[in-house]
This record gives sequence, C-alpha cells and structure tokens, in this order.
Amino acid sequence: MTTETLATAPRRALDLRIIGQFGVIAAVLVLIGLFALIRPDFLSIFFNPNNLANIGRQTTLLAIMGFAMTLVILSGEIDISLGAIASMCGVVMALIIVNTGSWLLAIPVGIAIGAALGFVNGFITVRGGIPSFIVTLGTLNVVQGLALALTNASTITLPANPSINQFRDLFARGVVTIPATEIQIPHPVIIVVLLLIALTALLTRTRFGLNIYAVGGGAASARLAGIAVGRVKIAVFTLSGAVAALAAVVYTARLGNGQPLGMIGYELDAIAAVVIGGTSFTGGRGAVWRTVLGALLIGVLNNALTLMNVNFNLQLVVRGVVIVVAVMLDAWTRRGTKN
Amino acid sequence: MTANRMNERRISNEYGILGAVVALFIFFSLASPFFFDANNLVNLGRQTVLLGVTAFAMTFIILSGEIDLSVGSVVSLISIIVAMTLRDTGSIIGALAVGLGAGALIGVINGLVTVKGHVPSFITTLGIFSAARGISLAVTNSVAIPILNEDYLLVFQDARPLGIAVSVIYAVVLFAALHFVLTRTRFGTSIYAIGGNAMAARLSGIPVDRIKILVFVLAGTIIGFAAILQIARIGSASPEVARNLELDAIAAVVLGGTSLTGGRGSLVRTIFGVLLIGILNNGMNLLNIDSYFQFIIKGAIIILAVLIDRWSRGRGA
Repeated sequence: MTTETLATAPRRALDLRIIGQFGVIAAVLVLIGLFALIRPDFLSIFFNPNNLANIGRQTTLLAIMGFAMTLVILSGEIDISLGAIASMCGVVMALIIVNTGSWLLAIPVGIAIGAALGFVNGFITVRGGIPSFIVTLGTLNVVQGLALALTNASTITLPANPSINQFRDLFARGVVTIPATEIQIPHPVIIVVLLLIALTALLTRTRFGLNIYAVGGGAASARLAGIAVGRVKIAVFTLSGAVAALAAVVYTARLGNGQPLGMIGYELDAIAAVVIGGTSFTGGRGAVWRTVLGALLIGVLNNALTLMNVNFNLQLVVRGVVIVVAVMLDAWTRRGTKN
Repeated sequence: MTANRMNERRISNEYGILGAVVALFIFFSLASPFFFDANNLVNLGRQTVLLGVTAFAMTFIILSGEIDLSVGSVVSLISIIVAMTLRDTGSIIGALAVGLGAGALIGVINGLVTVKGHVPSFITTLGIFSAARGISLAVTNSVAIPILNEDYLLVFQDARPLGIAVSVIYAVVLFAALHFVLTRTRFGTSIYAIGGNAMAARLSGIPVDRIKILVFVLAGTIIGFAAILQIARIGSASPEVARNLELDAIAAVVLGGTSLTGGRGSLVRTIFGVLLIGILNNGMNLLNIDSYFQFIIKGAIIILAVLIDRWSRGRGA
C-alpha cells in the first residue's frame, strides 16, 4: 500500500479502501462459487494448472497495456491511441524481422517508435494546451492510417525458422517449470512480473515517480512545488508508448505476425483494467499492482464465463457491468472514508 | 481586454471554422466534377445527418461537463430494437416510440450511475458501450435485420419534399428546437452553468444532479432518433452499424470549438464541425483517396483545428 500513502494523506482511509478492493475480488469469488454450484466439475477444470496457465497467458497483454495506461492516468491524462501505437510497433517489428531476419534489431526499433509516438502525444498535449483525449483521438487516426499504409492493410507473417522460433518462445510460447512440481509459468507472465517490479520501483522510489503522483493529484500545486509539470507529463507519455511497444513484442511473438489494426481496442480494455483495479480515473492515486488485479479480474471472468459456455457476446455485457459496479463500489468506499 | 473585443474575437473564431468549411467545399467542387452535383449534395446531406444528430446529443453532454463513449454501440442496439419492433408489429409509430423510449431509458441509466453512483461518465459510458455491443450481438446473432417496411423508408429516408432529403429536414427542425432549449430556457442556461463550474452552480441553487441526469436522458432520446434515421438510410440494422460514431461525434463537437471540459460552446459550432467532417469524408471518397490516408488526414485536421482554435483564443485572452 506504500504508493497510496505517498500519494494521499489519511492513513485511516486505507482500511475501507481495502474492503472496497475486496468487494471486487469477493464478487468474482461469489461468481466462481455460483458456477461451481451450477456445474459440479467447474472447480476442477478452473483450477487445473493448464487452465491457470491459460488465464495467465490471456491476461498478460491486457496487463502490459494496462501498465502503459496506468502511467498516463496517474499523471491525470488519458491516451486512447495506445492500441494504435502498439499495432504500429507490432507491424514495424514484423516488417524488420521479415526483411532483415533479426528480431534483436526489431525490438529496440519497435520500442523506440512506441516512445517516439508517445512523445508526440505528450508534446502536443502539453505544449499545445489541448486535452489529451482530443490529441490522442487525432493521433489514433493518424497512426492507424500510417500502419495501414505501411502494410497495405495486410498481415505481415513472420517466417518459420529457428531464430524466429527462438523469439516466439522467448516472449510468448515458452514456459518455466517450477522444479519438483508440475506448475508451469508462461514466459509472458514472467515479463509482466518483471515489468511490475520495475514500474513499481520507478513510481515509488524515484523522484520522477513521485512527481507523476503529484502532477496527477493537482497540476497547479505540483507546479507551485517546483515540479516541471509539462516535462513530467511528456516523459510519462513517452514511457507509456514504450511500454505499449513491449505489449506489441509479446503480441507479435504470440501470433507470429503483425497486424495493422491488431491491437486496436486494447486501449479501452486497458482503461477498464486500470479503473477496476481501483486507480483513480482523475489521476494522482493508484498503483500498477492494482492494474494487474484489474486485468486478472477481467481475465478470470472471461475464462470462467467461457468454461461455463457463456458466449462471447454476453461476456461483453458482463464486462460492462463489472466495470461500472467496480468503480461505483470504489467511489462508495472512498466517500465513506471522508466521514 | 474589454467585453467588446472578446466578442469580436469569438466571432472571428466562429468564422474561422466556417471559413474552413467553405474553403473545403470550394476545394472539392473544383477538385472533383462529381462533388457539386445535386445528387451528391443530397447524398452528402443524408450521410451527414447521422453524425449531426449524434453530435447534437454529444454537445449537450459535453457542455454539461460530461462525456458519452457509448453512443456508437447504443445507436446500433436501438436500431436493432427498432427494426425488430417494425418487423413484428409493422407499426411505424410503435417503432418510433420504442426507439425514443429505449434511448431515454439508456440515458436514465447513464445519468443515474454517473450522478448518483459517483462514477466518471467516461467509465459509465465505457461500461454501457461494452454491454450494449454485447446485447446487440447476442440478440441478432450477428445477423443484420433488413428494413422491409416501405412506409418507414419513405417517412425517414426516401421522401424529398421541395427536393430536400427528408432526413435533413428532421435534422434542421431538431437543431432549431435544441438550439432554443439551449439558449432560451432555464434548463439550457443551467447546463452552461454546471459545465462551467458545477460547484458554483450548486451554490447558486441550480439542481445540478437533476439537470445532469436530464441531459443524459435528452441525449439518449436524441440518439434513439439517430438510430431511427440510420436504419432507414442503410436499409437494415446490425451490430456493426455506427462503430466509432462516438469518436466522430466528439471530434465534430470539439472541431466546432466547444470546450471539451464543458460550459463553453454551442450547437451552431457543432454544425460547423459536423459539416467539416461530413464534407471531408464525402470529398475524400469522391477523390478516391486511399482509406489509409483518409485516417491520417482526418486525425491531422482534428489536432490542427483544435490547436489553431486554442492559439487564437489564447491571443484573445
């Protein structure tokens, strides 16, 4: 809970917030319990190591995109172009791999492009004084158009050779087996954990991280406290673009191709994961581990519904309701703490 | 800076976007032999009506300091409900009532959750966006429902009194009515007050919560009407209808110069924004510009227009 105490004042508020957090987890547990009642073998299927590994795999992309979104939201901004940016990075990396055969070259270039596009978003938002929603609505169109033009709207398929297989195993297909058990941890899950540790350290142990909370909590007071608000925001957008590019690495490795519109739509799911986790939508309060929780809740929910043969369309409905209820619960417990 | 100078500045701003619309119109008239043509202009009108009506609804929401991301999937859900009502009852009045009623109901949900549940409208409507899309897909099984009722098509699409597309007439009448509500009623002025500063509005005795919920209900009803016009134009209802419509509507409102943070702007401005996007889309299609470059041009124009708007305001202040 360290990030919260750094960002917000009252320590006693924590207890209620934890309850609010448990509210969402409890809701999912109740749901799993219900499913177990309806379908007796549900629990054994759900908790099967293979299924758990599946949930992990399915949740990783959302978690990484969620990390990128968390940074922007914490700073009090929003970036709805992150899905387009990630798609663009994925396409460029796929093109580099196809043309040079080198994924070692593709990855840094992809991350640099993600960072550059994030920088453009930040720069226009800060220096132009335009709401980031509008800026990224604009760049969403531009980047999407560029990715389509670059690929002629087609999918760039990676060739199958040992080097490419190495790339795909490393970032998507590989697993680490915990010694003396049958538990297998997919590589992407490890990537998420490493990223979680790195970003948490950045947010809670560096001045830049603390400045992000300060800027998101109140730009005016942060400015008075001597923080270069504009520069912090531009840096956040840049970093966030780079993190979205990392998601693109995992995506490209998993699918074995680059699609110009492949990751469009992830931005909205990422926002959902962030707010379900309990990070304040208006900025200044929250943490990256919360986003993992949010992404996991969405992942578990989707997985459980699929196991119950609930079709995808109704999953969309459930997801919509969960987003709203989670934020309502959160707002409710926060209001409780004010008294 | 005197009030007079501020007014001049504001007028020149409005002319700025109007100038862009006129310039674009002249450009496409010269660039394509098909643009300035009676049939194309009727077509342009029809294409733009859906965006226009939706953007009217979005203007109310944005002026009150909120946002609605659910518009596109709500339009498709309501069009499906209307199409089913029409198919099963054959009643145009019934279909109209169901469409407007469903829109109002969704507005009530959006408004209540946002205001009473203390959920940012961005999140509320993101949830509704997902839920409405899911319901549309589930109800139709992803199959489009054709509109076979010829009276319905005549009333909402094919009729051309005085040579003008009937849907354009509906949009103009709706615009006049909504403009009146926004500028000449206490409800309208309260919306500006709330969007400008909700706290101050509350202190001055404006029932902020009730007005905000009413705005969502009004916007929902307008969106219901947009759905009714939309299926008449396309001739069918499907879950794929109106994808991303919310983003175009927000872009139109902001392009017109209405402030995204609320309290400042007008429906007249929104009309300019809608015309800009409508003419741009129609003209680029006539010139056979690659859809990829259409995205790029549209995105660049959104950012540039807002930058210029911000820049001219900044100098005026």
